Amino acid sequence: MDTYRTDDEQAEVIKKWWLENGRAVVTGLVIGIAVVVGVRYWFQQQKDMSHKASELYAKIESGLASSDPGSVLSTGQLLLKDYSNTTYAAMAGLAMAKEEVAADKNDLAKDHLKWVVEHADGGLQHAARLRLARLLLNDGKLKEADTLLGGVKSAGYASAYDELRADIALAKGEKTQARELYRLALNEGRSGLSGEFLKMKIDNIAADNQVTAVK
Amino acid sequence: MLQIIRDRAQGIIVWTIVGLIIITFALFGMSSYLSGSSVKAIASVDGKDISQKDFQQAYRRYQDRLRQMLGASYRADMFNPAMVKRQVLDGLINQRLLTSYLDDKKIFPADQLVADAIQNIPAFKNEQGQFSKQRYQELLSRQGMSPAGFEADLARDIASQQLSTALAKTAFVTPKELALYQRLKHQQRDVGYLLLEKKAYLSGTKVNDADIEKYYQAHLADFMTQERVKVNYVELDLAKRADGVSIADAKVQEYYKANLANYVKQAEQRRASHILINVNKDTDDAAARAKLQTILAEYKAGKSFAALAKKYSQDPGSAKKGGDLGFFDQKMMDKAFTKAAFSLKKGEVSAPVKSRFGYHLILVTDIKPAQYKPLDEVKAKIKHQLQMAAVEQQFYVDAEKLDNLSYDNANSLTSIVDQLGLPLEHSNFFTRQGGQGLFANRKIIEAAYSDDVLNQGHNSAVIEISSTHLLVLRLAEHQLAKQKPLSDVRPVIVKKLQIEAAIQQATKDADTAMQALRGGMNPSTWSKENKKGQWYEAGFIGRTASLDPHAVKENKRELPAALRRKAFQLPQPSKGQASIEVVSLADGDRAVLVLHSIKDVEVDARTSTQYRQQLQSAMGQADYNDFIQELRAGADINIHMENVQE
Repeated sequence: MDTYRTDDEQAEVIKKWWLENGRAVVTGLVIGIAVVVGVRYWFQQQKDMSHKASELYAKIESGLASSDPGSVLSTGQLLLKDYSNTTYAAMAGLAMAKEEVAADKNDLAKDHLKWVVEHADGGLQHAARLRLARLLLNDGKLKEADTLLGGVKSAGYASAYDELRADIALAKGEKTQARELYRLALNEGRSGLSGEFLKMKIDNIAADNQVTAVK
Repeated sequence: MLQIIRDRAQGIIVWTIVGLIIITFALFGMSSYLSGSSVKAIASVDGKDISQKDFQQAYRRYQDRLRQMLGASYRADMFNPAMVKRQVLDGLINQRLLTSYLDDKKIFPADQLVADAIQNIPAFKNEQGQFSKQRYQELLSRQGMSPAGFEADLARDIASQQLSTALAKTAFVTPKELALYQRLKHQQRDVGYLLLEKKAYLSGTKVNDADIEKYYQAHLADFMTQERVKVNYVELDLAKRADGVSIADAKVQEYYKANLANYVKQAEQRRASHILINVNKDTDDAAARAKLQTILAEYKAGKSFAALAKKYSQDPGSAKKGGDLGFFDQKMMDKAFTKAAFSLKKGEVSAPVKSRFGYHLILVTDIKPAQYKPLDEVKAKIKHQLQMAAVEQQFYVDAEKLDNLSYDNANSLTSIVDQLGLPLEHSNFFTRQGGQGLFANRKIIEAAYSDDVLNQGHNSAVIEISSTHLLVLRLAEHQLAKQKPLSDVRPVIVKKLQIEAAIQQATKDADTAMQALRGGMNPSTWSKENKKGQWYEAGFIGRTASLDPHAVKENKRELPAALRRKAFQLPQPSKGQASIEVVSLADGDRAVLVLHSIKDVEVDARTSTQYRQQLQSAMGQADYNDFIQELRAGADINIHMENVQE
């Protein structure tokens, strides 16, 4: 051990150590600082992005509120182009699809919903997927709709998925399966107007086990 | 230098540093134990607690909001507190989930949006309707908030508003969906029904003894008598006792005369004239009196009072009328004046009288004597007063005795009866819910069913029905709840079984009729041939009465709700066929419902637009709710409602 060295000896040791390792230490420090600065810069960039996107989305909000589809669509284009990585872009996609359906441009709406399905996750993705499948069903593209829903599972949107699957089954003429799925959807909890609609759909395809007779 | 540090290193410095480190760790460790044990969290969301304080704050806010919304009709017990608390907690959890979602997805509104929102908040605007920075800062500091904190909260609100818009305001209804909804909603169904009423079967049903016995045995618990008691009691009632006292008419008359002042209908009135000489700085007391003395001398010399009044009186109002003041009673004039006026005889003139105005000479010109209520009018009242007075003292003496006797001789009422001369009375049976008259009184019921009376067999304490109405009771008979014999309840059972049998028969007939109708038989024909039921042709009906195509004519009967509901659940008949099914109606009636056909109805454009908007907003709302549920499903949520402190 070096317990008995004098101050001079110690200084000598330190100097020697520095000559050997000095470069590495400086390099490490520089890299470390660069990383910290870089990450902070990146975060700030992200935040700036969100802020700018949020202002555009605010325009979409007022467009939706004041029924100004032109503003919704043009602002939406901007968001999708320049801020495609933000959640605001996915939110805009949903708004654009609504206006496009209203304007009878289902194909454009489908493209935008598809974009949201591909770029978003979680609830936004489910909502977009369900809406896209409903458009496909409306346009008679049962197979595509079926494929899109595939084996998708969701706890929150379970009832909506089952109702839509029932709609598709019914369109394909599979009454029994539709009936089963509608029941499932009803049990998964539904209220208000959409619940009333669901119940009417169920009543509409009542099973005719011996109830009907020749007059 | 390094050497010095190293030498010392084994000493104080090292130990100081180590000590500091130990203390730090110890403290940190402790604080987390402390906070963990004292107040437990209500819930945790992804590892973050919702504290007692967070919850109570939200709960209070919720109640305040309710109170504001409901105003005067708000009552604290209006809502089930457990349910409300759960709702508040769910709201908090959702808020937490939403906040972390917004952070995670970087839904950050720009500063400009926050600034715009602040400038639009009415509370921050000055009288001119413009945003006032001073007001803003004042209001915040009054609420104990910093602008930075408030702005961060607001930013989060805006972000969640944006997210909710993204789902709730962007839903659409496809053309086919809208068409289907309208078609189903406005569908009309042509139905008729064969009604088999329960009451038509009641008279025809026979009930046999075996069935009655069986029903009785199966429902023993329904046929129990209630526990009841009979009591013996003595009552000390001042009013009742007073009723029995006889008062001679002469006594009443005597009292009436002695207290005539209490029965005045109209007080005595007198008419007088006067001559007033004021006392003031020009005329002192003695001068005024002297002046009146000379006037009095003139009167006595034969001058008329009226003329003297006109000439001398300093009361200008009356002087003109010869000093006449008209009629007055004892309450209307100055005290000294009144005293003098009411002690004179008619036509007599007073000596000078001093009032607060000055000196008067008073001449009484007329007297209307007082009028009294006639004796007949007040006789009953006086009699009652005299009766009460006669027994009142004795009543309080007896009341005290009653108290002592009931306690000292707790095992019998005899001594009370004997010593107080009160009759022993007997109640009818009454249950713990009470009985008739006195025995509906809560105090009496409680006393009768008290342990002391019911189980120990003691007298009750004195029951104070009112301060002048006392009662002591003891148990006479106690009947426990017991099985009613079949003979007692037979009629009830017969009725029940008859109804059951009637319903059963109606059901059976309904089935038979349904089979016949399904076989193609005409319902009216079935009804006539079997002499059962009544056929009603309802025609086309809507899903609800408001959607009926026209005032539905169905032999003036309203279509039962169960039939309307079922009519829209029956399968669509093919052409030339009908859907036929039995429906149970609410009151035990049965019906065979026949659905002839279904008709779709065009919906006008305005209604259609309305439906589209309604559906869109309902679907959007549902999407948003589902979104929240999806967040919840993906989170680790632990709820401990039991930790909620009252």
